[in-house]
Amino acid sequence: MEINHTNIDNVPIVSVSGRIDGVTYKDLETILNELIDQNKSEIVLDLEGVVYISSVGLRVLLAAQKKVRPKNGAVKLVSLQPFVREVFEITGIIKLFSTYPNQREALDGIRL
Amino acid sequence: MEVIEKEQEITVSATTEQIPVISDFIERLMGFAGFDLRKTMEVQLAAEEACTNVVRYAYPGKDGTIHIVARVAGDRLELIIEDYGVPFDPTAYTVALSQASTKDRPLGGLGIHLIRSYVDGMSFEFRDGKNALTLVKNRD
Repeated sequence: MEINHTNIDNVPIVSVSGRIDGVTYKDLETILNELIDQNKSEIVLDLEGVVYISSVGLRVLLAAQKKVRPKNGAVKLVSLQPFVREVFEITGIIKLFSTYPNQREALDGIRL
Repeated sequence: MEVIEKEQEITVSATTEQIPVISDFIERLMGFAGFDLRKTMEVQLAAEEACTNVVRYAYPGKDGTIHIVARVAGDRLELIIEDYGVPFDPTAYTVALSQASTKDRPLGGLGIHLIRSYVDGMSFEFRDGKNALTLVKNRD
């Protein structure tokens, strides 16, 4: 798994590629926790390159969402690939996130 | 009709770090047996969830192993995940995800829900101190 992190208009964009599984989830958890510790409440998570996610990965995203919600923030999911989207849907977790087809639309949502 | 018969086994320590080893094992076998990538990922997910349960709960305070037997016969894959830890039958564990509010969702049930969702059959047997969870996936 690879994680790249940039900022656009002070909003962190975290781009992940590869597999979010029982081993790699820790790297994603670390970067999300760092951003939350820096008081970032809006986080755009671009999953275009993610082909696989297991329940440990879902839990990391849920935990991050739970931490930013009280700050009126959100973890916004971008470019969910078919299998990953289905895992979100089957577990019902999709309801807890806003999803966007690309980073621009996720950022537009924040500016609104 | 071509019938492929193949059986492979792998034994790993019951640790999180071995999950990718199990995933690679499944990918090689299913690729050889002509399963497409999507079905392969579905089985990898089901197996990861099952093995994560073993890693977390089967051997409290001690080391243990996971033994996997994979059999392909015709268009059917059978994956038997075995451990010698605390008896636990995932097939008896039902989670009404749809009935739980999203806020209070029992997160512990996610894994088993995913296993059920992505295999065509599952069965469990505890015998001679061994948990054996069988997952079945059809190729077509």
